[in-house]
Amino acid sequence: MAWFDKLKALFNFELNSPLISVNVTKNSDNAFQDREFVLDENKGQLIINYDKLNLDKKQKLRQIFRDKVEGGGEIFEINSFKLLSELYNYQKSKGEDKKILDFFSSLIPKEDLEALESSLFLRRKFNEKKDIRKLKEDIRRRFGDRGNNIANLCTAGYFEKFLIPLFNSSKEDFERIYEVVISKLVLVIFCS
Amino acid sequence: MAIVSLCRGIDMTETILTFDSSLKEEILGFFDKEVNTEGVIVEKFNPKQSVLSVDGQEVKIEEFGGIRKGSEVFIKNDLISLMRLSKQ
Repeated sequence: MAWFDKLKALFNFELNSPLISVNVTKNSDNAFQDREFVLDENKGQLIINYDKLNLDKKQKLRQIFRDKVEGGGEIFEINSFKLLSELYNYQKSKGEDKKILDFFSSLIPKEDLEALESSLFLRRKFNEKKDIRKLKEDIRRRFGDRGNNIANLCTAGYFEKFLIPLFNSSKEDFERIYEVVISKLVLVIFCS
Repeated sequence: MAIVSLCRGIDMTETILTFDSSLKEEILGFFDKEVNTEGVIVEKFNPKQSVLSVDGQEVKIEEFGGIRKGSEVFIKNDLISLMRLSKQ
């Protein structure tokens, strides 16, 4: 029996529409009261109250989780899944960000490009007034001060407003200055 | 343990199964994993063996974002790991 059929059998529910998501939660705010689960057919959501399950049901839920993974699927911590969903949407709607990434794809180190891509996503979330602190910290942890500098420069628009025009003006100047700017967060002002 | 490469993306048309962050340790228990004193996720019956992420790194409990098939590859929850996953 597939994992989903086991889930339906465990909680004895039937659906007239597709189930989009199942989340297992603790009943920390007593929102469930005494219920084992809440099913919202309109949203296609099933929320399971882990605290309410007896040992037998927890064991069966354990097997459902294992079946899901062993059947080739995945399980996610819910906030990770929300971020992953946002990233999938971002991949589909990169817009101008894709042009920036394409421009630098053969010009800068692979790690810098990866940091830049994450920074462009960070910038988009910043512009949407989302809390970006963890995203920024993730970039810093993975790429160190260099990644932190890339994130700061990207958020301020320096890749498209300074580095792209610099490359278009002089490839040699770009090659000289890029490393200095990124590693030391130094900005160069040209006077003519 | 061998490093496992992801070779396909996530099927977003399948029913998604998730869990609250507060249930991480319980969910790890479902897969016979536990957290050692240093906060690293390890095999319950072989605590010297830590689980590995896609890029062959140890995974700490606070980094734990999910599990996918392929010798139970552990997904880290940071932006860069999930960005790579979103491009599969």
